[in-house]
Formats: sequence, C-alpha cells, structure tokens
Amino acid sequence: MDPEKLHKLTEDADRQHRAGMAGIHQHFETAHFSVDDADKVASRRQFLRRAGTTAVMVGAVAVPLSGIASAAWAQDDGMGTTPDAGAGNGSGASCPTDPVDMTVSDEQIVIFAESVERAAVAAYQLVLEQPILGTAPSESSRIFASHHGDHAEALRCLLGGPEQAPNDALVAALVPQITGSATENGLIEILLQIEAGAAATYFAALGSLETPAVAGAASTILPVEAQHEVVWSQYLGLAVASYVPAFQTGAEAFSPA
Amino acid sequence: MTPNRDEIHRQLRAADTEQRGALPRFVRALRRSSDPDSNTSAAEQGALLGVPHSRRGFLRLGGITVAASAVLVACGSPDSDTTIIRTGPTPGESSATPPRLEPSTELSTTLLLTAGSIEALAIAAYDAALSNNWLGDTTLNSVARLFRDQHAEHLDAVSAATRQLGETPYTDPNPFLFDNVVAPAVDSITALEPEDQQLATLELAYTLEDVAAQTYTSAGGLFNSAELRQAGMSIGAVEARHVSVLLSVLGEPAAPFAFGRTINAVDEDAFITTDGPVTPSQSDEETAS
Repeated sequence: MDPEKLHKLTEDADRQHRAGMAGIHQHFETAHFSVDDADKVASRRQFLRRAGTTAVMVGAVAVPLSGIASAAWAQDDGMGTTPDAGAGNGSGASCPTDPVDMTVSDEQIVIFAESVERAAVAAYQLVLEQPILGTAPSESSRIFASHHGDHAEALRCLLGGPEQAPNDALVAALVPQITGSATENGLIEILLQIEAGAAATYFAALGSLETPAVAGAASTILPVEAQHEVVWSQYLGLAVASYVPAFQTGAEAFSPA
Repeated sequence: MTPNRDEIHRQLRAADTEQRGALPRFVRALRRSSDPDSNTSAAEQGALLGVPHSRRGFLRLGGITVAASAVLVACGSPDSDTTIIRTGPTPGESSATPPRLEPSTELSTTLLLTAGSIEALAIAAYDAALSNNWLGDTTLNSVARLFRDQHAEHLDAVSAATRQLGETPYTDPNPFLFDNVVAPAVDSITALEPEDQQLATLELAYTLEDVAAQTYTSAGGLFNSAELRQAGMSIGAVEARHVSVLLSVLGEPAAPFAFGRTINAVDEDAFITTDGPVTPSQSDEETAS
C-alpha cells in the first residue's frame, strides 16, 4: 500500500483509538469475561433461543442497510432456509470428516450460519454481475465468495446434512441494495457490511455454542470474516482504527430474531 | 572480533543474488503447494519451506526465518519482490485436524497465562520498534502505537480473566518466543542499515501477530466454556485484523486463506502454566547455573 495513502487512513487512528479506550478497562471484565453479568448471559441465551424460532431477521440496529434492517426472514421451514434448494458452492461434495455430535441448539446455530454464508456467496455473485467493480475489488470479491462457499461447506459437513439455501430474507434485502448501487464504493460498502455482520455473527454465536468442536470451527471462520472486513475498509479508505477495534464485538451480528 | 561490515554486505549481496534467482521457482512451487486442490500435505509443504512439520520446529526456526528475512532486505529495495513465507496445511486440513489437547479448567488457565505472555511480548516488540524508530515512518509508527496499545488492552483483559479463575496473571513476555523469535530478530534488525530496518521490523510484527492470531484461534476450540471461547476470539479476531493490515503494508494479499490457521499456534514449549513457563528463558537458566 502507498505509504501516503496509509497515512491518510491512519492519521486519526490514535485519536479515535484513545477516545474509544475511555472506560474500556472498567467495562471489560464484565463485558467480555464475566459469567455473572445478567444482561450478557441473557443476551447469549436470547441468541440461542432465537436460532430455534420459526422466523429470523437481521438485527435491525446492527446492520446499516435499510433493506436488511426491515427485512423479515422467510418463514417457510423454521430457519429461513430451503434445504433442497441446491444453491451455493460444493453442493453434495463429500466431507473430509464425519459429522460432529452436537446439541440441538448448536445445530440450529450452525444451520443459521450456513444460510448466512450461502447468502454471502449469492451477494458476491450478484455484485460481480454488475459491471461496476474494478479489477482489484472484483478479484477480491471472487476470492471472498470462494471463502464463504468454503465456510458454508465446512458448516454443512459439521452437520452432515443437506445443503442449506441462501437465507431468503437476507438475499431479498441485499438484492435491491446491490442492483440499486451505481458506484463501486456503494457496492463495497454493502460487502463491508456483510463481512462485518458475518464476523459479528460468529462472535455472538461463540457465546452460545456448547460443543467445543463446533466452537473451534467457528473460531477458524471468524478471523477470516474480520480480515475480509479489513480489505473492504481499506478499499474505502477508512481510518485503521475504525476497522481494527481493540475487541471484536457482536454489535453488528445478523441475529436470529 | 568485529567482522568487516563491507565484507558481510558483499557476502549478503552474493547470497541475495543467488536467492533471487531461485525465488521465482520457489514461489511457484510454494503457491502450488498452498493450493488446496494440489493435495500437498503439510509435511510436504514444510519440506518445501525447509522447515520441519511441527510447531516446535516452526517456533525454533521462527527466529531464524525472521533473521534471514532481515538479512535479505539488507540487500533489496523496499519495492523488491519479497514474499512472506507461510507455513501451514491446506484450509481443509487445518479445520479437520482434531486438537491434541482436551478442554479443561487447567488447560484454560494455561491458555490464559500463555495469552498474557504473548500480549506482553507483542507490547515489548512494538516498544522496541518505536523507541528505536525502526519503522522510520510517521504513519507506520502510528499504526504500531495503535497495535501496541490494543495489545495492552488485551493483556489487561486476559489478566482479568486469569484472576477470575483464581490465578495470578502472567504479564512478562513469553520467554520461549522471546529467545527463539524476537531476540534473534532484534539482533538482526539492529545490525541492519536504517533504511533496511523497516521491512524487517514489519516482518517481525507480522510473525508475532500471526502466532498470536493462530494461538487464539486454536484456543477457540480448547477453552472449556463458551464465555472464555467468545472472550478469547474477541481478541483473536483483532489479532487477525492486525495480520491483514501488516500483510497489506507488505504488499501481500490481506486475507489469503479461507480459514484461520492454527498450525503456528504456540504449543507446549511456549506454554505458561501455574508453575511458570514450561521453557524458562535462556538468560534465567544461565543465571541459575
């Protein structure tokens, strides 16, 4: 990266970071590690409960895409997914490992996460169909779409079941956003929000997942979504401190609701 | 005896010329081996890289790798075709490999103590880079300060978690990683010309951040509670972002893998238990003897 460009991206880094640090130490213990904090425990349980309900939606506060924010998820099969749709990468491919024995609640979270990954793949495919992105962001889009396809397959293999369809409501919300965007930056902003939402979703899920092997898998996916977020933020010329916070949070999670 | 600096540089230039001739073939082979479709085993990748396929081997060689990188940049321009050497299995292999350790309270405590030592090591490394102005650039120094301060916050968080488990936090730099990675790299960077120190310092930072990110990612499947797993990854995801920023500064793809790798997570040699470091620092051992 051009040092001058990086300089522009980072000139506010220290100031923003230090402002963000205010009070963090006082809050951190309860915000991140306490098992006694009632609100945090309740939040985790809520994520868990919602993963098993018949309707899901993207967290309205967390995802600043107007279409997503108000979207109701499909209510056809309880998870907003259509198992036999056959969309996405690697449908029906053999799995390198046997399914993981997991709790029902973990199963629901994994199904939800897979549907989000498939929706991300679909979104990237639609973005690539728009003759807007330049060469470099197009190449990044292809790579990241491939990553999301790999994530979806890994999740499917954890379950050992059929492939989930892209989450209907997420796709429905994203389609008008993508097709209505006339600029490269507009499309990249959408992709950035997808990645930020995906990273936050895995973070939120980790607070609920009970099966170590499933949590371990989620832990290998979360950092990659976070790295995708870095890449899109850099394309947009954002300040480093804005996309490298001190701690990952679940504030922008696609939460079942 | 003080070696003749000009002679060292002459030899390094000769070695660099030879190395650059071999590099394109090496890079092509490396990229092929990193392709998930190539079915190249981790052991074969390790052999290609000239490193043994074991965590211990990586860490022992980590310092050498960094030192070698520092030496090579002494002879190349910052814009030269420098490749960050990465080890690790294919993504599928990484995610499929079962952990050798089983979650337990004892292991969780060890992981927290070890995480604290890694954070302290990163703080020390960034402090050294900043105080010596090895990066030589206002913007890069600003990024280094940001990352150092975040590691300090991570250390505070990990220490708080350690206390919650009833143990005393470990806040010294990890002795195993210091002896085997940081100390050799610092020696090499110190010996470089100022204009060559920036790249070597960035590569050291990348190495430390990558080890940190992979260690937290590995711990994500090893902590014995959801709370700890989530808290650990609240940090691990940030270390991965640090890795991406450094990769982009180094001109490398910032998100090269589909899955967070764990092959370079620290293993038992670098662990800190409630009894202290599994591998004490060499300076401590020398003092004791």
